[in-house]
Amino acid sequence: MKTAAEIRDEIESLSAIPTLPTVLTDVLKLIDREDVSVNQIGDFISEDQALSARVLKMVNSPIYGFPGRISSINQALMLIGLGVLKGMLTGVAIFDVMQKTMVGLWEHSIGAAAAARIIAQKAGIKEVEEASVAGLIHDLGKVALGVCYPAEFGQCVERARAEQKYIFDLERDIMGVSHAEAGSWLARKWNFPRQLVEAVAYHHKPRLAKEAKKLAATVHLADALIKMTGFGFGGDPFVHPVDEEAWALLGLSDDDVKDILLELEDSISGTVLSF
Amino acid sequence: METIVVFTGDRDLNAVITATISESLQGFRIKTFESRHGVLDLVYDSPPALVILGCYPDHREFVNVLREDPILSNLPIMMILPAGELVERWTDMPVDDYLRAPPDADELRMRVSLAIFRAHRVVETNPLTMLPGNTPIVKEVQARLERGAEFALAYADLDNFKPFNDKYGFTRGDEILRMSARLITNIVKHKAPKDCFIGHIGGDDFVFMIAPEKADAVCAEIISGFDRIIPTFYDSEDRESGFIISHDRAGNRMLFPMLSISIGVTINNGAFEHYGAISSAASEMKKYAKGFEGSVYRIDKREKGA
Repeated sequence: MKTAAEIRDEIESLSAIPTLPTVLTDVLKLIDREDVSVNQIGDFISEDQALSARVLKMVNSPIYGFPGRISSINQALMLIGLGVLKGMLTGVAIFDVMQKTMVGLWEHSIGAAAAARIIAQKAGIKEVEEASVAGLIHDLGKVALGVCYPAEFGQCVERARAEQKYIFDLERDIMGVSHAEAGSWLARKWNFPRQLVEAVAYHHKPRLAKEAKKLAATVHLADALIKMTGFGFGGDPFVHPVDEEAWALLGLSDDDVKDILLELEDSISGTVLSF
Repeated sequence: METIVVFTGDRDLNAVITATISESLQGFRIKTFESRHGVLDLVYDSPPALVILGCYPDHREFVNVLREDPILSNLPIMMILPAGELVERWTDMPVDDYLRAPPDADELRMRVSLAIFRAHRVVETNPLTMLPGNTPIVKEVQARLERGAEFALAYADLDNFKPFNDKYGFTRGDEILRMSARLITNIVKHKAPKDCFIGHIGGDDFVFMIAPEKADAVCAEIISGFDRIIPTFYDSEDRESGFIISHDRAGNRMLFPMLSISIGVTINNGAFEHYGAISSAASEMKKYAKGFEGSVYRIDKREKGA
């Protein structure tokens, strides 16, 4: 087994994560259109974790001079500019091998983004877009592990199903690192704002977050709620229990959660990936 | 007319260089020197486009004399090195380019025009934002006025920037300036790609020029973009409350609202003859815009006095 330091090096050497082939086709169609607006591109990017991560990485690059500052896709687009953005989108990579796991994960991510947005609104959190972005990229580490260690990660997915275990625990058993760690390494390496790094790192244990407890709690709850709806598949065979401290921090009632679930069902019914 | 100074310390070499470059470079006056005496006078009197030095016994020392004065640090200098002379460390001889003596004619012509082109390209950019600074801004405005171009001149600056800097420090202040530069540049280039110009006067003062009919849309988008992005640069407690406690210019502690941007625009309809006039008209509009709370733009649509 590789040491954690070796794995960290390999994860951090990723310059981007690949996206799904259908997304790439749609990207190319979109940027070929003369009249495409920044907002249209923004809406599109906001539904793809690979593209969103790329945009955040770029806008937070030290070359622009405000690293770790921007966590909103729309703000990022205003600061990157359409020309650079188009260039960036044309260079987007797709998975070498089409994996069913990745499709499920993509849907899980979009769903978590929608759930986090609705939770943030209900909980009176001002930074709704930040919550949505955090939901979208919270499982960045699964994609990274899947890209760097396809055999081992595949084994985690398989055994989670067969042995009815959490994928998080299997990752630690088989590879020695979890997707939460792997994702936070990338987020930190790519100069994402600290809140996003923490939300990725602690979406399983939001009470460990230092500065972004509320954001981590939002993503933690969003992760559970989207699993309940059965939309997408993040690799876990069941819904995880919601951390009590996180629940208390968000100050939501049971009725709020019912409302959130109803709204979430509405929101995801329109988002079906076609493969 | 710009000058090229040729001072190689060798009369024949001076003559060869002058003959070679005067053939291909129009619009430049070439001045040759045989002693360093007149060179310094000329350099300080009207900075030349390029200085060609070489083969002179103390040329290394002379380069350093020129470079020592920060005001001359961007003066383009080309060195003609005697055959066989090696330069181990360029810090000892801070020139921009060199050629071997005797120089090949084509090589000399190309290097000289490249050196001048390069100097024009890098002329005075603001180190923080890499946008053109004061001199190129004035040049660009003047050039547009001289060719009678129709354009809108906009001055933008930030409101409450000083108290922000006092509270959060210069590093965060610089982040704001880079972000603002980026935002203005993207919106101007996207909305009005034709004949646009964006410059950074210094501090929190920016300038841009666009086609008059685009002014409204560009300013409106800059303002809304700025207001959307700016809370991100505050700590969460200040973002929640919507203001900061800091000091005004007199040192009084008071509440300040979030940073905003004010833009004043004037349109050249042929009434302005020189930089000073159009610049003060735009400044006046900006001052007027700053009188309103929050991010605001004001376009001067008054008819200019006939």
